[in-house]
Amino acid sequence: MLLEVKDIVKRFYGVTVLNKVNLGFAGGEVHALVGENGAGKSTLMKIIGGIYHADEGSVLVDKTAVKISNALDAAKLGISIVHQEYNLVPDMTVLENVMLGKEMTGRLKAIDKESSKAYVEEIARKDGIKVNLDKYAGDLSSAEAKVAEILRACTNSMRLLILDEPTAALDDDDVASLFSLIRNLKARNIGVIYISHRLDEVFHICDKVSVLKDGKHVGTWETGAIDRDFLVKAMVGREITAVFPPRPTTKREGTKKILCIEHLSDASHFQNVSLHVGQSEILGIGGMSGHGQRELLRALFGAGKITSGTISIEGKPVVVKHPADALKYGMAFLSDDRRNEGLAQTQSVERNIAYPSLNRYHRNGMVRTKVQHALVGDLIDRLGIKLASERQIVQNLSGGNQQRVVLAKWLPLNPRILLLDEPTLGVDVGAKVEIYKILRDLVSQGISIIMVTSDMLELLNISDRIIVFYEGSVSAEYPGEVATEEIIMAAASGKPMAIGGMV
Amino acid sequence: MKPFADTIKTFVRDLRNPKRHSSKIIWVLLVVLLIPIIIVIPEFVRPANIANVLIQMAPLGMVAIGQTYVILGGGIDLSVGSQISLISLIASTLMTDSPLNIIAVAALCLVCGVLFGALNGFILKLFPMPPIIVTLCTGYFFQGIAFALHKTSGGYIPVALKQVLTANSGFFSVPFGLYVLLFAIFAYVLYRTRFGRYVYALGGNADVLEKSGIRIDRIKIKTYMVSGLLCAIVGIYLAARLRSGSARYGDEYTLLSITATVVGGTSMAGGLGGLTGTFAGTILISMLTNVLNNIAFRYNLQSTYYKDIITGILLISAMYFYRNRK
Amino acid sequence: MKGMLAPIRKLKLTQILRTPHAVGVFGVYIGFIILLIISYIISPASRTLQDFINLLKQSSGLGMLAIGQTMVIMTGGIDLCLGSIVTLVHVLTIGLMNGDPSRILGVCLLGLAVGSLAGLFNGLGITKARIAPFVMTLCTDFILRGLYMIYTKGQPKGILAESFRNLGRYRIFGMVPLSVLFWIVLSALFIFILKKTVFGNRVHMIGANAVCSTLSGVKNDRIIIAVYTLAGLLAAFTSIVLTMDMSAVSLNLGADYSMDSISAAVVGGTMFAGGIGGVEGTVAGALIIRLITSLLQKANIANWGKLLIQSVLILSVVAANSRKKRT
Repeated sequence: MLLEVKDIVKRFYGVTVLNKVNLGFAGGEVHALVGENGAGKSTLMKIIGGIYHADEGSVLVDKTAVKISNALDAAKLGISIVHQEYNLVPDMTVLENVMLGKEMTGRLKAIDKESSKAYVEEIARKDGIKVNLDKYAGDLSSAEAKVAEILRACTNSMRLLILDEPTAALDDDDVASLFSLIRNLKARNIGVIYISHRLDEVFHICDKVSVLKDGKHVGTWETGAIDRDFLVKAMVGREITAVFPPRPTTKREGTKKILCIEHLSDASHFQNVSLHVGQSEILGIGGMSGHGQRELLRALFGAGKITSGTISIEGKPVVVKHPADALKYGMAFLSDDRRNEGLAQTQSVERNIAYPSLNRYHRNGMVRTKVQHALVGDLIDRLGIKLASERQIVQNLSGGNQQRVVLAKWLPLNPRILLLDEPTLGVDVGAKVEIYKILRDLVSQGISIIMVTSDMLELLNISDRIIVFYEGSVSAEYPGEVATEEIIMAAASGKPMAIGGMV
Repeated sequence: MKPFADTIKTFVRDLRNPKRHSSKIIWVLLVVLLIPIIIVIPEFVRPANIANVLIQMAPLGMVAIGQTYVILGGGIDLSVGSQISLISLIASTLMTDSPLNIIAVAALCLVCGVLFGALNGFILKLFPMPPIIVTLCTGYFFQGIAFALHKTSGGYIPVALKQVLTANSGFFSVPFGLYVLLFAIFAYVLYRTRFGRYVYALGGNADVLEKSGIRIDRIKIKTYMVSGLLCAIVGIYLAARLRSGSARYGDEYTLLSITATVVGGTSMAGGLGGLTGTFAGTILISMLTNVLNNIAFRYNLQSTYYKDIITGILLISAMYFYRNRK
Repeated sequence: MKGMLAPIRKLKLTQILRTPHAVGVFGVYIGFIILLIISYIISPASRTLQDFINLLKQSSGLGMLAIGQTMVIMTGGIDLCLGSIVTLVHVLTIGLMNGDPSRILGVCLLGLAVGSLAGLFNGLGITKARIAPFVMTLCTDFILRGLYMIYTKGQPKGILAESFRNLGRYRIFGMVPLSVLFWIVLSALFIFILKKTVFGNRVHMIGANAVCSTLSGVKNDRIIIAVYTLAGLLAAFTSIVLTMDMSAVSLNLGADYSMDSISAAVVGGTMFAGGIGGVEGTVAGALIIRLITSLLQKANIANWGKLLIQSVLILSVVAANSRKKRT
């Protein structure tokens, strides 16, 4: 075994994220690591990479225990990571980014740009990586940035490459060249750990697959020995039907359109987007991350700038320049970044929940404490938020409870349209089930939902109608009942298939 | 004719929306300001006056080099003024006429300066606090020590040191020469060496730097040490020029050095900008100061009062101009 | 839904006291009492009621000014120009009044307007031009300093109207100066505002997480501008109250107030991170700072000892808080 982890335990804020995980990775093997959001995959990789430190357990390289306390230690052991999040210095060129920490120097310790460039170009040529080395990293598209990061990993003398969701922002051609690179590395006896949500990729490129669920290792199999349904069941831990509430059977044909957008564009993220959502409908927006769907949602809520196009609500054109306007028109927004945007972590649950609706029940600017208490108490019960007291600080709540607090913030305003960005990111399965139930419940009360999600199962099983984004525009639209993962993926790569006359 | 028009178009676009690390705008501003200045005050371009401006810009220029390093690294050093004052007092308290003593005390001052910077850096390493708070407090701390050493200006600096440090003949003067030398060295370090790259990366995205296996704390501490060293040099120079030390000598340099840096296009958020812009920013401030002194002299006004106001407005306008860049 | 309200979960007093901020405030008052006892041990002569009232009087100016600073820090900012507002309004008040009692009201109103304008300028720069608060207020500090130096030409002139000075000499019940009364009233008012009003809630939330506040449909800019304007207004009011009590005009009146008010707020448990703190702690913070100052004055090391002690004090409080947050 090239690398093994033994009995790894890791806790954050008192929550156990990894619970006695044992895994082994061999050289010349592509090993997939799969699991739902929040299963602990990225955390485990960050422990191997020296960015986090395990609370218990050990990491073994060539069967000897090693201490990896920072990225440098990992690099010395031949471990390179391409992280999921953006990892470049925006105001430095690609070349400078790739060589960061291992610059070649010449006379008078001056950085030798020419030899660095020749060196990097040679590696890029050998591994078939194409990227403009002189561009500033901040000017790269998300796909180019990912390629630059992979190139950086390749310039280390590595034995093990960890790719954390490398294809999230790549289109088909990029994925193909990434796969040929991986085969190349495999032939050179380099081990690859491949983290992905896309199961077809796992079966396509990986030799082995390990499943993590709620911080525990469920099992490891040869990819040839299992099938897709087996893997999904191992990941979710229960039948899909038990996670997702059934769609309502009543037909929604002909219901009135609540929100219509026409030819909406912003400066750089999305262009000429037209879509609508009907009453009591969940519109799911899928596609690879970074294709403009997130920005569209924010622009709708007034948190991003629109350059052209119109928004109308119940047929009346509206102008949304600030979230305050969106509120006025009955919109509510749940950010994908709950910790940094959705909640004020150092403030009490009560203050967080009451905040957007403060204007509704004050007397001459003074908060009516009793009304607020009653309102908040009612919401806590209604959404089943578990806490010791309303005065408790939000920070100490679990992910699922925090998401319920965010939902609770909006309900007193009686929103007509809920804009959800990754509503169940970092939430365990139990809480997911309940959040889905709440969403269905809200919809049955006449609320409309637009949901942007990267979770394929969520997209397929919750949405009444699905829109897929590709490069900032709507690539295809399907009814929720007929869409499949294959169809969505094709549309997300810009090659939509026609089914039943719908594109 | 057409390519020429295009060049101008891109140039103007760059000016309105400055590109990364571009400091064109400040040079244009310098030229634009120079024209009315020459028309109104023709004396400005007399060689003697130009030489004077160059001497005047030396101390500010040196402090601004250090400030640029710190700001590029994503920090800020509000203690530079107090460091300069304290060094000036250490020098004037300890110096005697013996040449050996002069050299020893000067060396001691330089070491102290580096240590002051290291103190800033270490506090920041130990506690995750905003650099404004830390350097504001250490600034008050240094000034407190300075006041304890001498309530008013005082001490003794040998004439010989003053003669050496302020010597000049025509265009060439020791202070400006020293500034040019230091600028060359630190520009080389910033633009050509690994350390310089790491300073940019520290301010641009410290996370990436850390994941590349670099000890970011060390880089950060070093930027503050650079600032401390340059403050020490300026402290010795000011003490020698005025032949005494004072707890107030450095006061104006805190805001001025930040202004020179920011006006020169270095982003307050770090990772963007550079020393060439700061050089231009320093020239701008020295030029304005000189013109202000000239006008004030004509109309019998106190130029320092107006200088404070102009510095404040200059910094606010620069921040406003660059607000959309990052 | 409205008909069936859930029972209100009332928080017990012990639970309230266990919140970090409450513990901090409690600690500050204990700290003040300990410091007071130490000062009584060092100088037995000061164990009189009159001496305590004197301490209150000395603290009142700082206490009022620090209310504004506390709110500014709670929004995640800092105001470095309050001291210059104090001096500017001071020289304007005395210079323009020049012994004429009929001008008292007009001059005072002008002073308050000047302070508010300076604060408004800060607020606009910070929100509309997106300039970092410390840079913006540092620049304003320099601009205001330039203004009052130009106005006075370095030699401030003017005298107060006698009736205005009488206000400064007036003692309620023959004991308590007006400034102390103002301090108590303003502190109580702003404790209430920060805790119980919509505005106070917004100050907390903007400081804790400005993005979250915007995404909750609140126009943060308005609140931030209001906070800086209020800070300027309070500084101007402080200056006028301080001026009542002065026999001569001084260009150094405001010199220490920016730093002192930051110290008072931070020692009183208001955190630079924003969102946590309050005027109730700042009151004790101001008392502590002034008590230390008077102790240092007795030891005759006030001018430098104060700088050293305050800088170390702020650093240690902030450092202790930052440690707490990390674990």
